[in-house]
Amino acid sequence: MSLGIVDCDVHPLVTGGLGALFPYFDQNWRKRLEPRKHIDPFGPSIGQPPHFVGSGSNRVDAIPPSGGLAGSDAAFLAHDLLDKHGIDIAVLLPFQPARLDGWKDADEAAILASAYNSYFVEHWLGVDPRFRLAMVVAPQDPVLAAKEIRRLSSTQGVVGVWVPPIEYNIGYRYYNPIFEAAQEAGLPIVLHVSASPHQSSRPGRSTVAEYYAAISAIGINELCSLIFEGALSRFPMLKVVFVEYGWTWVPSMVWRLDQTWKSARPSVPYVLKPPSEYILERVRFTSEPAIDVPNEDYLRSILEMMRADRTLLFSSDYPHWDSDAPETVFKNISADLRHRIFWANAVETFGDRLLAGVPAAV
Amino acid sequence: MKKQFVVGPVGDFPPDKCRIVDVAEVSVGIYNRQGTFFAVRNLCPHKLAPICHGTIGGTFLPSEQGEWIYGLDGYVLRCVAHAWEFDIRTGESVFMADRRRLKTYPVTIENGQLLLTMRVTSAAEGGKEGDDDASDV
Repeated sequence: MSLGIVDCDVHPLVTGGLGALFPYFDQNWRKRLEPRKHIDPFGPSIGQPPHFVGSGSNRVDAIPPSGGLAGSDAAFLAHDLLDKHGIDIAVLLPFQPARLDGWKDADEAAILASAYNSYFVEHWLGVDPRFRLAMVVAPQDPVLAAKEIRRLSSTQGVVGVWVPPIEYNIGYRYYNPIFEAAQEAGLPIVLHVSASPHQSSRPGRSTVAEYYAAISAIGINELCSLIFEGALSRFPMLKVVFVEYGWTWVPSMVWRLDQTWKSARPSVPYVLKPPSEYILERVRFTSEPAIDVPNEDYLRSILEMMRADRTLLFSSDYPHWDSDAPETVFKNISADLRHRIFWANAVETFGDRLLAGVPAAV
Repeated sequence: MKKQFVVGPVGDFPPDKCRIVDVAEVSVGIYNRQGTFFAVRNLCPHKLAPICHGTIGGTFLPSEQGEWIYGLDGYVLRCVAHAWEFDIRTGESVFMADRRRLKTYPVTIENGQLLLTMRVTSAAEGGKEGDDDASDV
């Protein structure tokens, strides 16, 4: 049996700004958005420091021959990523709607996210049977977000819900309507560092280098919030996937969370068991960027300590500048563990939806 | 071997208070919970703090978020360091937050005197407590 590969972090884009979404709006919304139809939520914002990679966050070799943005041509992406690297299933995480977390108008953010979701269902899921979609919800109005989850909960190919946190850390009860709808639909929550103000902005942070290195700290914040704000207690079936926050830090944080719980338990009596148990059961981490651990023994130890056989999911982060091709990572670990990281953990996390449409041979 | 030690007249151990006494060179906290006596070693199995200087009371029981259910009142000893909680009846970590157990000793009353049973090494009979008890540090 060849190694099946699920790639849990692939970023498609829509070329053409908001105008590309106009088929999904009625006359009224078109009228409202017409003056801003060239805006791209993924575009640079004024005053932001330049990316240390000259091309920005995307690889130049991922720009499709047809032109347009890297990640905007479904057929080219399918060839350049899936065919070339033997990837059987790719979970799409569209960045443009996730960037709407900085959008001021809650109704606009919701309807734009919804239009992006419809766009990717139609133009990507419909193009290649290997694509799956993490739908995106705008966090400004959690009730509207829940409505959007219910709208797409039975759409084939939709396997998760990307929530970009806004203002509140992710475990806070502000997100209850979103979690309730996701749990009801059996869709894992997907968190992905989004460069949103909530996650990236810190007073005195003026370089992308600092932001990039500190992404782990953002993930740590959100993980602690999920546990101690009680989100995993309130929603006992909810699963959460941490995408691109790193994972080498997971063992030390799990130990620290458990140690904290042993002292703090009476102050958080709804955390019914050691945090490590919630995490092992229902929190997952994706692999990219697979940090260069200085030697293979260290790497194997970390994988063992974090229970990578359950908690780690392969991701490429295509087409971003730091993406990992599957053949370049986790080369010297056991075949069993590779199977868990590249395939089985993802299937268990996203469930049967992930496999619908995949040839049985995989 | 096990040995009984007289620790004092029952009246010297008022209700809902902890008294720390030395028994065979071992510091022990004696708790009077409404006339029932419990004795624990004054040494936290976690990081060896003198746990009996901590508070005795209850704790908030596992519950739904937003519920606050106070229970086990009088049985929960919370360590001065790190606030780990142990049940003085069993020495177990409350809700099994940790595997480590606080050492407990049987207490009996005879002729108005509180007696504590402790295992001692034969070589140092009447002296240092033995370490042959699995629940010990």
